[in-house]
Formats: sequence, C-alpha cells, structure tokens
Amino acid sequence: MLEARKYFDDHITTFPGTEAVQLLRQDALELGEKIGLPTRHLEAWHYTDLPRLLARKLKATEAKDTANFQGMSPYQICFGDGPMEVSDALLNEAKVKITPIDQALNETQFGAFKKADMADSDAMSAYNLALLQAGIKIEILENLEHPIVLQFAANKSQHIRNEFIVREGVKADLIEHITGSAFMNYVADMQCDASSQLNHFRLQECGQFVSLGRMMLDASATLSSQVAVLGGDLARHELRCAINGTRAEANLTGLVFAHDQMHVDLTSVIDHRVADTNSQTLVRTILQDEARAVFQGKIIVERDAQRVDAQQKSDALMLSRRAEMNSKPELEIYADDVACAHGSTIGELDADALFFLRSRGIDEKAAQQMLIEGFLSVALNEIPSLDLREFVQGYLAEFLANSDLIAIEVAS
Amino acid sequence: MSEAKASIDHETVSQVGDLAGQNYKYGFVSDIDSDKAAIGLNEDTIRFISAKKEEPQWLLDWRLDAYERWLTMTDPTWAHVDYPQIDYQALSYYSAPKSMADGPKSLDEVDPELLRTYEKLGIPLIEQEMLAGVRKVAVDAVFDSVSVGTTFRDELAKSGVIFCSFSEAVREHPELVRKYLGSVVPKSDNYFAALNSAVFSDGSFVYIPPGVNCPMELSTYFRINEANTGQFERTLVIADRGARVSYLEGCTAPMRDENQLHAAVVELVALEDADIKYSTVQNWYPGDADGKGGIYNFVTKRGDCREARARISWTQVETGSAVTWKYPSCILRGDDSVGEFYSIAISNNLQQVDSGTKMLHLGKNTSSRIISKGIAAGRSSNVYRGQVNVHAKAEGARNFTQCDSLLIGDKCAAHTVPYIETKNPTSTLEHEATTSKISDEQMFYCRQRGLEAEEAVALIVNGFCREVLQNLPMEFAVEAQKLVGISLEGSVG
Amino acid sequence: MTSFMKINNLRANVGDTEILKGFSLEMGAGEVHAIMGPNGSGKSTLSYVLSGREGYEVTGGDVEFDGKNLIEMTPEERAHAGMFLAFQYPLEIPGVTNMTFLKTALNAVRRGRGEEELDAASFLRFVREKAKDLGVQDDMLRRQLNVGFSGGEKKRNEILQMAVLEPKFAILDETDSGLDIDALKTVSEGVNKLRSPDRSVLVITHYQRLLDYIKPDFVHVMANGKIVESGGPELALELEKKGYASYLEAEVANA
Repeated sequence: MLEARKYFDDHITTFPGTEAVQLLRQDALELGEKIGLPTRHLEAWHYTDLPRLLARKLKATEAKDTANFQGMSPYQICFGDGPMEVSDALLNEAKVKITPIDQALNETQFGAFKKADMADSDAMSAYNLALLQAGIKIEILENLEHPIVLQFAANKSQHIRNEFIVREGVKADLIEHITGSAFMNYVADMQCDASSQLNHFRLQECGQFVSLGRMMLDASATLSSQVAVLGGDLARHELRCAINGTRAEANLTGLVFAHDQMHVDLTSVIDHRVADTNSQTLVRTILQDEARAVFQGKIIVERDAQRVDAQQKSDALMLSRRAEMNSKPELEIYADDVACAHGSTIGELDADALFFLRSRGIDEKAAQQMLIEGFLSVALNEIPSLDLREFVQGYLAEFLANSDLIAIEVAS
Repeated sequence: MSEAKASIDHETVSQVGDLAGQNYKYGFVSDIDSDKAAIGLNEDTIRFISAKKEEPQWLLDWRLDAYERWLTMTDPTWAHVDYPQIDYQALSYYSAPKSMADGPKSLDEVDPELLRTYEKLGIPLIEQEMLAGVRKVAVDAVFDSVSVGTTFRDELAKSGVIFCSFSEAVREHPELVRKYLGSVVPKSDNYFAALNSAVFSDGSFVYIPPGVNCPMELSTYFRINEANTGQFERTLVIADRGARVSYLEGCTAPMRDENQLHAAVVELVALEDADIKYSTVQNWYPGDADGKGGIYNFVTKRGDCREARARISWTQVETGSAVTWKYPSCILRGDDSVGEFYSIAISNNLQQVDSGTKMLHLGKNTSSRIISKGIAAGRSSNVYRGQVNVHAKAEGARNFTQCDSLLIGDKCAAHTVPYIETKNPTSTLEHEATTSKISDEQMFYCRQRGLEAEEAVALIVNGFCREVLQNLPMEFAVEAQKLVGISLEGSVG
Repeated sequence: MTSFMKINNLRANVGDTEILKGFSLEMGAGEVHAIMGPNGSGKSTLSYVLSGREGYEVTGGDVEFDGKNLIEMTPEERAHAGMFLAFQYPLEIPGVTNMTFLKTALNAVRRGRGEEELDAASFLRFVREKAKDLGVQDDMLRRQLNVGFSGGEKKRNEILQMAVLEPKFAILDETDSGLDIDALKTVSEGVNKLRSPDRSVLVITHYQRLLDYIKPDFVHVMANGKIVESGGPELALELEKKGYASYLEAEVANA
C-alpha cells in the first residue's frame, strides 16, 4: 500500500477488466495519490494514521484459520492467493445470482463503482478501484437454507470489492472470515431491499484488514451486523449505514480482543434519513499488552427523521499499562422528536467480581477468563441466528482458554 | 443541514470595518492625534499599545514574540461554526474608552429592546444607565452612594488579596505577572491565543496569598465601565498554597460592544491545596433575529492544577454571542487534583455555539467531572466538543461526563463530539449523552396548571439545567435562571 | 340550579376519527358527577378536550364554563379560569422540585386572575398548611416533580396540586388506576377534603370501587362517545352487577 504505484505498474497486466478499464484504473490511482493515504489529520481517521501503521516493523504474521466456518455451509467463496474460488453448490443455487467481478468488469461497472465512491473523503476506495483484483456480486432472490461464507485468505496484498443485494422480503445470512496474513483493502456495498433482513457476521483472526462497508436499508429492512476482531496487526472496520426507509432498523455490534501490538479501529456512521427508524450500536473491547483500540461511532439524525430511537454503547476493559483506548461517540442531531443516547465506559476488571469467583474456589486465571468471556459475550447475544451464536460463543471460549493468551498486569 | 449552519451576514463583518474609523477621546491629557485609533495590525500597532500602557520592555518583547508566531498560524477551521473570514487588518486594536459625549444622553435614547431585557432581568434603573453607556456621572454616583467600591477594596487589602486590572498588576506586581503569564496558555497555543497575547488590552489580575480564603466573591461587574475592556481581555488568577477564591465574570445584561471580535485568554493557576471557582454568565449580543450584528466570542480558558490536591471548577452559562468558540479546560497535573466543568449553553435564532472542555489527567488519582447542558432553539447550532485524556502515568484517573442536549423546535441542531482517550488501565471513564426535546405531554401538564407556554419552557429548561445552576454562586444563579427564560423567548411557536 | 359547567352536544375528533359524538352534560356548583364507561368510550378524550390538549379537534357543540366559552380558551387560560385536570399518568419533570412547580403554577394562576403573586414566605406557609391537611410530608415537597414517585405518590401529588391551585372545576381522570386499596383510600380522603359548594368535580372512572370512597351526587354512563344513561349513586352499583355490555349492544343497535 505504501508503494501503490510500483505495485500497480508491476501487476497491471494481471488485473481483471477490459483495456478501457485499465485506463480508468490509472485515473483512480491518481485520485488516490492526490487525496493521499489517510492520516490523523482526517477527522474520520483521527486515531488511525495509516501510513505510520503500515510502516510498522512487526514480526512476520502468519495466516490463521481456527474457526471452522467451512463446515457450516456448502455456500463458500474464497479469496486466496490464486483466483477466486466459488463452491459448486453456490454456483448452482438458483435462489442466488452470482457475478464474479473479474468476468464483469467493464466501463459501466467501473463507472458504477466510482459513483458509489463519490461520498468518500479518504483514498482507500480510490486505491481499491485502481488495484481491484477480485470481487463478487451476490444477489439473493429467496431465502437460503445456509449462510454464505466468504473467506479472505490472501497471503499477498489484495484489493477486493463485493456487492450484496438482499431482495424484498428475503432473509439472508452472510459470514466473512479473515484468515490471510496479508494486507487487504476491502470495499463492500450491501443493499437491503424493503422488508429484507441481512444478518452479517465478520471474524478477523489475522492480517492487515482495512475495510469499508456501505449498507443501505429500505423500508422495514433489518440489518444485524457483528464484527469480531481477535487477531491481526491492523483492523479497520468502517461501517456506514444509511437508513433510507421508514421502520428500518440497524443493529451493529463490535467485539474486540486486542492484544500484542494490534491496532483495531471500529468506525461506524449510522445516518437516519427518514422518520420512525431505530438503530443500536454496541461495542465491547478488551485491551492488553501494547494494543491500541479505537471506537468512533457517529449517529446522524437528519431534519425530517422524526421519532428516531438511536442508542449507542461502548465499554472497554484495559488489562495492561501499555495499551491505549480511544473512544469518540458522536451525535449529530437535526430533528427534535428523537430519543438518542450514547454511553461509553472504560475501566478494568472488577476486583470485587474476581474476588467473589476466587472465594468460590475458582483459580485466578480461570476467574479472569470467566470475567473476560462474560464481558465479551454480551456482544454475542446480538447474533440473530442461534446456530451461529452458539458456534461463536464456543469458539470464543476456546480462544480465551488458550493459557498463554490472557496477560493481565497487576496494577502497582 | 443548511439552516442550522447558516453563516453570519457579511454585512456584520463590514460593520466592524466601519467602526474602526471612529475616534475616541476620554480621560487623556495628551495630544488628540496620538489617540487616534490605529487600524490594522503590525509591529507598530503593538509598540503603540505597549507604549500607551507604559509597559516594561519584557512585556513588549513578549507581545512581539506572540505576534511573530501569530503570523505563522491560520484561522482554525475544524469547529462546527461558520462565519465569514475576518479581515484582521480592518480591525482597530486600540481605542480609548468611549467618550461620554458620544453616548446616549439618557435611557430614552437607548435601544428599547435592550431596555426591555434590563427590565425583565430586574436591573435597577441606575444600573441600566451604566450598562447602556449613558453619562458617566450616573456611574460615579452609583458607586459613591452605595460605597461598595471602597468597602470591598479595604476588605481585600486587609487579607492581602490582590485584585486589580491587568495593567495595574504589570505596574505594581510585575514579578508575579512575569512568573505566571503564559504558563498555562502559551503564546503559541492557538490562533486566537496568539493574537490575544500580542494585542491584549486589559483584564483582571487576581492573587490570593497562601492560606487565605478570599473574603468575598470577586466580580468583574465593578470593572465593566472603567477602562475599555472590550476585545482582547487577558485575565490571570493565581491561588497560592491553601488559598481559595470564587471569581465571577460577566453579567446577565446583554452587552453590546462596538468591537465584534472577542478573543479573551484566561489563565488560572492553583497551587497545593488551592481552590479556584470561576463562574461566567455571559450574554454578549447575539445579533438580531436574522443573525446580524452579533459578537464573535473566541475564548481560550485554561486552569492548571499545578500541585497536589489543587481544585479548579469552571461554571458557565452562555446565552449570547453570534458565534461562540470556547473550551475551558483543566490540566490535572498535581496528584489528587480535581477539575470540574459545568456548562449551560443556549442558542437561539441563528446563533452558533461550539463549546466544551478538555480534561487532561497527568498526575495520580486525579478526577474530573463534566456536566454539559446544551439547549438549541430557533435555527441555531449547538455543539459540545470535549476531550478527556488520560496520560500513561496517570494512575487511578476518574472521569464522569454527562452531556445532554435539548432541542426546541425542529429547525435547530445539536451535536456531541467527545474524545475519550486513555493510556492507563487503572482509569475509570464514564460518559453519557442524551438528546431529546421537551415532550408535548410535559408542556401540556404545565399549561394545564396555568403556566403560559414560554413560562413552561423556562421552567422545564431550568429543571434540565438544575445541576449546573446549583454550581453558580447564589446571586448569579438567580440571574441565570431569569436569563434562561429570556434567551428562549420566541422559541415556542 | 344554575349550570356551572354546561357541555352541549360536543363532538370531537382525534385525527380523522370521531370520538365524542354529541356529548352533553350539565353540572351545578358544588356537585360531584361520576362518568363511568368501558375502554374506548371516549372518557380520556373528554378530559383532554375539556382541558384543551393539542391533537383533539372540536367539530361541533360547545362548552360553557362559569359563563365563558371554554373551547376558545388556551389550556393555561382554562386553568386561570379555574379548571384543573388530575392526570391519569402524571408527568415527571426532572430537575424541577415539587415546591418550585407549585409556586410557579400558583403564581401563574393568580396573575391570570388579576391577583397579586404570593411572596416566598407566604407561599411556603400556604403550601405547608395544605400539605399538612392532606398528610403529605415535607420531604415530598423537596423532591423533583414526580421523579421516582410510586403510582400512589403521583396521584397524591396531583391532589396536593389541586388543593394548592383551588380550582372551581376539577376533572379526575381515572385517578384510581394503578392504586392499591390503601393508596385509593388516601387519595379519596384528599379529594373529599376538597369538596366545597364552590367546587364541582367530575370523576372519570372505569371501576365502581372508587365511588365507594368519593360518593358522587350523579352517575352517568358513557358509551361510544356520549352519555347513554344518567342516574343517582345507585346507578354505579347497578353497573357493577350488569357490566357495560348492554349499553354497548344498545349503541350498536342504534348506530
């Protein structure tokens, strides 16, 4: 990413798209360079100075894939180092329309992408267009029996752009699993038609993942999105949710266990554009070692969006002295008949609770793990699918039970 | 989005340019020419100001250094406020106090709107004349007849408290001024602080000696009509070890001023076990219903809890100004030091407020409390911008923040932008914010009990602001409650 | 008997729906009337229309109160004229103490009547006396208006306000809802203490039980937006036995 132009020149012939598209890519690259990689001078990247983070010399990270989402569903897509792989079951499924980017990238498509990117003030979507290598458009026409699982397993730098459309009245489950060790720049547009329901779950185990999710909700649509970050040097999950139709609802959840030298940035913007809509944002973060976590949650209620109920809560526990937590919950309200609130707490493990568990015979390490798991699993309760919720709860418990993982420093 | 961010009329800014040409003459024995208001800002202007005040060389050098730095800086653009570019070369940086020959001869000549407000606030006629700039003769009579001026000066002298104008302090207590000036707000801190440091006119100086509990509340009210205390006020309050003081600034009466730009700097220093309570009730002229002619209030206020167990508390009720940009802050350096910020910011018509606080936790076991109540009405914009920052070494830091916004009508906007940052795991930071409106049910309940609609709004809003009002010194609190009601006039259709 | 409150064929809408369909009632000074009716009969609408709440449109008929045309008046003007509505769900106003609210309201009403406002000391004496009469403790006066009050406390507070504002006409809108027997007794005692020849009271209730404690002079049955039967106190006991069904059937048959 730091040497984007060189990368572009080296790989341009391998990028999908017609010749006309190659020229358009050039324009996009120039735009990206003109805007420049986001630094802390850009308000939305206040706590995440990308060039500095990318330049960090961290010990080499390896790919990590410990959650078995593959076994969960026959509908699999994998963005690996080779060409994108889509499972036959998915390709043959009549209720879904699949259009891989590499086959469909022409001027019109490129133009549509550019239009969608116009509102972006940072360079990442421009670079994504310029260096776009893979992606898929998925249109879900009817309810499916299983979730669609996408795995991001690249061990070499990759720029991916996806589009998801859930048609009217349809319910869809989407799981995104990040297991590759490389830098990934991901842009996803998710459209929820009227009365549709999109359940989105994302788990990052490793890598340097910078992503922008743009969600659009029509009338009576429901979006439920959980993002869990348990590993990876760099995580930037920006979700921009535009609530365009009445009675639509958005529930965003973040769950972060930041350790070692991780930098995790969860940024959300929920824009209530019409009346009678609700949203809820809930983030739970644990920090230890030298990790740095950021939560920026902005709620906008436009002038005609009356009777909006928007709630936001961010809670963080810090377990070490070298960690850093930054929280910026923002409210931008133009309508008056609204109920909007946000709350943010930062603290440490409750000493009384620890003592209580230990007095009941539970050893210190197990007690700490219990409290941490309890703290984080509140966020998991928001997962609508019972199967998935149980799966992730089990996975989280196992993850935390790793005896070397939790490192709580005793306050002096 | 557009209505709430409506910008102030260009006419307003040009008015400033017009006024810069006026000549003032009052109490100067010297030559008329040397008293001509200098228009524009350059090194000579600063030398002129410093010479007029007979300042020592070190202070002139200090001003010039600030000016050099100001030249390298640019107008801040990040606040949520919108105003036409200020032409700094079109402003006057020095003018003698308004001549009484130019002012209104009696209250009959004063703007009836202004008089109406004075009446509502229950201000006695004599004080009204003083505030409206009618003959100074009336002013002297007030002080002499009441003898308040002389009594309080005696009392303070007895306890060793120094309370005088900044200029006087430079002459009489230069070592104190030199020691503390710029130690809390450095010259280069921000654009307006740099400008202020270069051209500050006058302000207050307070020094409370060790162990002294200042025997009365110090108020700037007594100083309002002395010198020309307009544009660039510089205030320095020092509470030595174990000292305590309560300082009141401003008054509820709408203050008109020919000088449109107010860029004040207030520095507070609290040493070990000292306690400074700084209260502001400000009702600078907000401009008319179309936003014309209002005052821009860009203030840098900061308190340094320099040593252990120091305590600084800011309480403010801001209802005026066309554009407000102020963030009274506390540096919690000393162990066990405490910082507090209580604020009511009301905006109506086309006012824009971008205000808040910064609490910087550096020492051990420091704590801060922020209670901010923003009320937006009309087509105004009201922003709370706050920062709570906990340094890595700040063990056991605690913060509680509650910022609530109340929207009256559907054409205004309220924003909350808090930055909560910590590098220390033993810190406990809690932040809550809500945005709501006065419910129709609450309004109906009050009206059914006989209250007029505007009375009901005033009652409910005062209830909303209760926690902040309780922190004001008694007489200010009563005035502030009245002010809350008045500033929301016309907001309920 | 001169009519103190005369409601003539009142029609009123909420949005597009007509709720009051020709409601008529005459009350004399000093009288206590009870209105009983099933849910949806328009009881609450009646109290809101009489007190002037927004959202309710009068489409026909009129109301004469103490010789004045009530419908033309704003809510606070009606209060100044001597009307009081004890809310079914009294509102909380955070940050405003009971005492402050009472003082502001009383002085507003006195001003509206062209009387002098009470100064702080006189007011304190006045309120304390009323509170004592009703058995309301001092500390309730210092608490924030209805914040954290139990259902019974809120209703008692409404009656205290009634005592302080001394209205000529009071509407008790389902004052008994949500109260247990003890609270009911206490609230009723309060109301009874406020009965006087200069004061008329309209008790709106769903259940007969309240009327054991606040004995009405007249009882009316309201169904489908108007009064369908009137009688003395024994009518309430009859209703208790029969229920509202027969009235509703009759209404349907007549429609």
